[in-house]
This record gives sequence, C-alpha cells and structure tokens, in this order.
Amino acid sequence: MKDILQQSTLQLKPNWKMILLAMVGVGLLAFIAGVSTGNAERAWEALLLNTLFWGGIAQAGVMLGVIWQITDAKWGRPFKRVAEGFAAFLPAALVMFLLIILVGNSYLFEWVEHPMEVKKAYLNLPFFISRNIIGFSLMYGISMFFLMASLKPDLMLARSLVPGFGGKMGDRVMALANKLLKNGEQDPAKEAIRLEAFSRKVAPLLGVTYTIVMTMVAVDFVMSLDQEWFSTLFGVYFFVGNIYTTLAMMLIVMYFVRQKPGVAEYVTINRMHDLAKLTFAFAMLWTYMTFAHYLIIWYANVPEETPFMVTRAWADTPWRPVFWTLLGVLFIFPYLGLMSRTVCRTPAATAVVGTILVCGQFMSHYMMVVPSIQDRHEHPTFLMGYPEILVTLGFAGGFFLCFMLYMSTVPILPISDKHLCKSWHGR
Amino acid sequence: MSAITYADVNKDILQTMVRPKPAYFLVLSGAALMLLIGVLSLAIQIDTGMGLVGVTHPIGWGFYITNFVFWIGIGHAGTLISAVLFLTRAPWRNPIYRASEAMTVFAVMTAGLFPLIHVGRNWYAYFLLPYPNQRMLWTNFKSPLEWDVFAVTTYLSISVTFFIIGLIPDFAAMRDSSVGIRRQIFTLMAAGWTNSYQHWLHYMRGYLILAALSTPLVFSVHSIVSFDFAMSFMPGWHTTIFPPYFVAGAIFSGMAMVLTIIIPLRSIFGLEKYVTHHVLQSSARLILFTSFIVGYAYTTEVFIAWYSGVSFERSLFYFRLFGEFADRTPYSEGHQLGAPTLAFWVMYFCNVISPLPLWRFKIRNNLMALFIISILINIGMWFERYNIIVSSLQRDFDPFTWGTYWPTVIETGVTVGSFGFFFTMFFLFVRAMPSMAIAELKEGLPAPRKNKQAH
Repeated sequence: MKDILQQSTLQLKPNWKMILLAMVGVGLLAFIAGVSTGNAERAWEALLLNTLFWGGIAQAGVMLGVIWQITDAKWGRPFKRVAEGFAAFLPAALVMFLLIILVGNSYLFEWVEHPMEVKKAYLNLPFFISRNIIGFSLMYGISMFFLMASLKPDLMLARSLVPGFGGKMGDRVMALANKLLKNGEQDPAKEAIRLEAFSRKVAPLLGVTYTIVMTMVAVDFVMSLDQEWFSTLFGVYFFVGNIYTTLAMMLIVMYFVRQKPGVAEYVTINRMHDLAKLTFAFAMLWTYMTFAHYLIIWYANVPEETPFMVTRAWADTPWRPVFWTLLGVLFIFPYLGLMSRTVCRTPAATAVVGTILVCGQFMSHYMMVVPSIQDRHEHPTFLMGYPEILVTLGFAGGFFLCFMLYMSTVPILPISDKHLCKSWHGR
Repeated sequence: MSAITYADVNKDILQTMVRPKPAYFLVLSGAALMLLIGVLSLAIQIDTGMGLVGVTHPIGWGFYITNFVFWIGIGHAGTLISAVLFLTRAPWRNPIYRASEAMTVFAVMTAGLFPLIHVGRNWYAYFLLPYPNQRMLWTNFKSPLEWDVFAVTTYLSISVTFFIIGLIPDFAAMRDSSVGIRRQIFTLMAAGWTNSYQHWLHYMRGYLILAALSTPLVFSVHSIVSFDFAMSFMPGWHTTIFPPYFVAGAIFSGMAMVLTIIIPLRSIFGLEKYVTHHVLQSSARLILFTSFIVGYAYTTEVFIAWYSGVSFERSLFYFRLFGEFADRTPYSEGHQLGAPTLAFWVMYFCNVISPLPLWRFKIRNNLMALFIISILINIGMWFERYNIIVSSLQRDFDPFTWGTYWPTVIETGVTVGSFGFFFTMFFLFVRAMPSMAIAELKEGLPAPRKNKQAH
C-alpha cells in the first residue's frame, strides 16, 4: 500500500500542465472573440454545449461512486477514486452554469424575449434563475459531502503511512473535510467506519437529488431551447446519456491509470472487463431510451412533438446524416465492439472504444442543443467551426487540468475502503 | 448458514412436496374458490355475449385490459431476478428465484388469457396470429396490439424454457429421492441428468446464454405493452416516458408480488433459514428503488402536462387528479369525484407513499410490515393501470365522445378468477416441484469436508 502511495500517485508533469493551461487559454480567447465579434450566439451555444457535456461527466462521476456505494459492489471499488476525481471539474461547471443562467440567457433561450403566453408561469427569468441556483447548490452541496466522506479516511490513512502526503493541497482538502464532516475520530480505521455509515445515508439522497435536478437541467437548458417542444422521457434520456459518457471516459482514463506500478493488482483484467460490461449495458440502456423516445414521437406524429425529430432526422437539414451516423456510433459500434470478450479484456482496445463513444456522446449532446437554436434561422447550417472546436478544446483542457490537479493530491485507490481488495477468485 | 449441510437442503426443500401444514390447504381452497367464480363468470359471458361487460363506446378498454397489463407486470420480477440478477452477480437471488420464475410463468399465462377474454368470440382467437391462408388475410403488422402478440408469446416461451432448464438438476434430485410412479415421471423430466462435470459445464453455459437472451426481454415486453397506449395520440396515453416507466412499474409490482408470495411460503414450509432477512431486505430495497422511479414518472407526467401548455393534456391531468372542472360537466352524471380520481390517489398513495417507510432498516426487517406494504403495492399497481386506461378513454379530445365506465359483476368475477387462477397454479406448483433451487442454495454453503471441524 505504501509503495502505491509513494510511486503511483498521478502527477501532472510541468509540460503537460502548460499544454492544458494553453488549451484553456485558447478556449477562453475563442469564447471572448466570439462574443465580441458579433458571433455571440455561436459562442454561447458552444459554451452551453460544453458545460452540459463536461459538467455532466463530472457529476455522473460522483454518481458512479453513489451507485457502487448503494449496491455494495466490490468490483467497482478500485475505480472509485478516479470516477469521483472527475468531480474536480464541478466548481468550474458551476461557474459556467451561472454564467449561462445570469449572462447568456438572452442569447440562448428564445423565451427570454419572446415567451409563449401559456408557458410564462414556468419559463420566466426570475423563476429560472432562482430554481436553478437552488437546484445546483443542493446537488453540488450534497455531492461535496459525499465526496469528502469518501476521501477523508483515505487522506488520513495516506498521511499516517507517508507523512506530508498530498502537500499543501492535501492540507487544504483535509481542512475542508474536517470542517464539513466534524473532526471525528483520530484513527483512520475508525474514521473510515464512521464515514462509511454517513455515506450510506447520503448516497441514496444524492441519487434522488441527482435525478430531480438533472431532469430540471434537461428541461431548462435543453428542452426550453425549443420552447414549443416537450417530452416526458427527456430528463431520463439526458442523464442516462451522461452516465454512459462517463463510463466511456472511465475506459479511457483507467487504461492510463493502470500503467502505474501496483495498480493493476487491484484493477485486474476481470474488473476492467466488468467496467466494459457496464459500459455495454449503459450503451444498450441509452439506445433503448433513444428508441423509445423517437419511436413514440414518430408513430403518433403529434404536431407539438414531431418537429424536434423532423429537424434532426427527417427533413433536409444538415443534421440528418449526423443523427443516423450517431445511431451507428453509439449503438451498433459498442454492441458489436464490446460484445467481444477479447476486446473487453484488452484495456488498450476498450480505451479506443471509449474514445469513440465519448466523441459520439459529444455529438449526441451537440444534436440535442444546436439544432434547436439554429433552427430559428432561415437557412440553418451544420456548425462546427473555430468557435465550437476551440471552446471544446478549452473545456477539455480545463476538465483534465482540474482532474489531474485533484488526483495529484489524493491516493489513486480508495485505500481505506472496506471493500477494496486484491483480485479475489479472479474477480 | 454454516450450520446447514447439503443434505439439509435436499431434505428441507423436498419436504415441501410431501407433507404441507393445514394452512396450505386452506390457502389452496381459497384460491380454487376464486378460480371457480372466474370460470363461472367467463362461462356466462361466453354463453350470453359481450353485452354483459361494462366496456362500450367510448370506453373500449376496461377491467380486462387493466388485468392484462397488471399480470404482465407481475410476470416481470421472475425474469429480472433469475436473469438480470444472475448476470450482475447478486447472490441474494438464489433462494427466491425459482418461486419468482414460476410466478412469472403463471402470471404471463394469466395475462395471456385476457386479450382473448376481452375480444369476445374466443373461438376466433387464432386470428391474432399471422398465418398463411387462402384469403390472403393478414394481421395488421403496423399495430402495437399485434406487436404485443409477438412480444408476449416470445416472453412466455423464453421464460418457460428458462424455468424448465433451471429445474433439471432439481428434477434429478427428486428422482433420486422418490419411488414408484413419481420416480418414473421425474426420471423423464430430469432428462438423464447425472450431475457429471460435463453436464454442469454445459448447463452453466446454457444458463448464462439464456440469461443473456432473457435480459432484453425484461425490457422489451412491457415496453411494447406500453406502446399499446403511447403510440396513440390520446392525452395521458401518448407520452414518451411510458416504456421505461412501464418496465420499472412492472418490476416494482413483480417484486411486491414476490414478497406477497414468499413471506407466507417461508413460514408455511419453515424455510426461514434459506429465505433470510437479507434476502427480504434486498427485495425491499429493490422495491424502494423502483417505487422512486414510478413516483418520478407520475410527477414528470403531471409536470410536463402542465409545462406543455396543451389544453388537452392539462385538462386530462386535471381530470385525473381532481375530477371534473366544476363549470364544464356535460356528462358528469351528478358526481364530481369520479372513479379515475379515486384510482389516481389510491395509486399515488400505494405506490409512492406507502413504500416510503422502507427507508427505515427496522421496517425492512419487519415481516408483517413488508407483507402489508407488498399487498398495498399490488393494489396500487392494479389501480395505476386502471387509471391510465380508463381515464384517458373517458376524456377524449371532443366532449361529444366523453363517457363514463363502470364494471359489471361479470367483469369483476373474471378479475377475481384471474387471481384464483394464478394462486391455484402457484400453490399446485409448490407441491409438485421444488420451490427453491436446490443446487443454487448449495452454492452459498461451505463445501462438505471429511474432517467436520475443518472450517
């Protein structure tokens, strides 16, 4: 355990730090340039798309931890710290959401200036701002408690084994954890038991909060872009897509994490196989949601609902080929790809699959957000130019920067977790 | 469970088939009486005609379709427990999966009767199946009702296969412990099982593949049942959340029915050491989870109906929740609070509110509380289907086609009969076959050793 702490913590190399910071800078510049040079709609659109995408991954990372906590799943334990590490982006996501709520709203939502009379009671700025601020503070607040409860005993144990582990950032995290969770026990093992009991209570609460708040996010930030359209499944479809993306992202990140000495003893091939199988299951679940969603809209052909699908899948719009390609990328590809046992048990191969799935899910988010905005114009076009690409680059840089900075201060495995064990019976 | 040996498992499970307590016969005769009521009602209906049934324009679907959806829903937990929980390596399924699989098979059989009862002229039931004929008459493949025929028959055949495959090693155990005619029957059913390594190897492979095949069926069947409603454009029926919501509701009601059956079963046959509190608790947690999903779906439906701003959606959900608008009651027939409103609140209370105590460990651990909650959920889930089906048909787009529905004695009798049919079949099954999987129960025990003190 001590070896892992000393040798296998993720460290951000200075040149990589520079690269990631440069990406963030480029993204920021592209956004500012977009807003100030008359391309405001596109710039905000790219910001919204990326906030939903990367913020969704960050929050769904916490949710994987919640799922493992509630189900007592032992196979998922070695992945826990990395999945929860995605949450390092949450503060940045919160800032971006606030920016959209408070500043960008009139560029994105047509109901700000031209509301439908009948929907004014829900779609109006004061209510929009207040409910979202309450929703986000609730979800992020509970997530914070959950994350700290899982992290604190780890850091305590790490510091008792390797004095000064985590450096100054580690001190700050510990101080925050102590503040949130009271000081508790001095012995890491006892503290782990106390906080495990606490997590058991918080995890279901966070699960419930997540579904409710994410449904609100889906309605407010995506569905209301096209204020005439509505669909009851949309919230579920949205957060299932987020968890799917996060699992695919885990396939990529775990490939690199496994290279660290000693980690492969815990993250065995069987566990990577399990992760790939869960990704497969979520690919199927997501496809099921998509199919149910669009089949019902298509078959009944109700005037309020159909335009959403016609714009994306049927009419002669630039999005039609993307829609049908995505079905291949996000359903047929993982269906055939991850069905193979050989692929699932080759981490390099699952990392490749994961990369393609993450890109596919990015485009799926694009297809949820962009057509609703662009369809307001006379001749909508498929937009993937410098504002979109550079802003996305900026977000990717920011996401991995936050992730790496966080991971460099914490143990790479949840070392105090009672369910963490080396391969047992090959599992 | 270290005190239990392999021999105990065989003895305890097989004794359920030899000498049941009097309570067993009491329950069985109650169920048989209900079945008799149903058979009589159905006989009268077939003899006289569909006029004896409350369904008429504009409400073409009433109790029978409600029962169909209800029983299909009950039939979901079995496959969930035996296939999905097998694939996700949840060992608490082992003691209850056999009984729930049997429950699935009988529930789907019960459900399958209802479309046939509902359409009348039961002797033309084969029209549902597409078959080559000289008149070139085909079923309407574009209709979700026809998809249902395929979905339900596929589900039934796969669950029966899964059920029988799972039984083979246990048939062999019964064969080895019985004599006379029983031995001959079980020899036939055990299909030459000898417990050899080769047999187990192929058996486990086949079981895994069947589990993988059944898992999508858990989702597809109730999704397609939900399409019966969602594919239309009726307010209250046409809504995109229906497929996952129906699937979750089906698992919810199925798990509740599992508890309704397992709790008496374990005390009648003294199986407390196998169906442990851990098993019941895990089931309760699954119920809590699916209860949250259906609660989420109810709330989303109402919210989106309001958010949509579409007057038909809004007025239908107002009707479901609160009854008639006071100032627009062309067909109110004197009562403001109609049956749909009652159904809605019964559904909401039973499915969303009544499982809430399960958050407490103590309640999950209390058999009586679990049993009462499971019964409430069964009631609530029946009313959920009634609420969906009847209230939407009562309030169409055009007030000229509005109407009310009230079930007749015959419909009620057949409904009672369906419960009788299900429970009679189930209790006969308990006598005729091992209601817990002997082989799987042994998986959880320490392996026998020569030196008894070794572990």
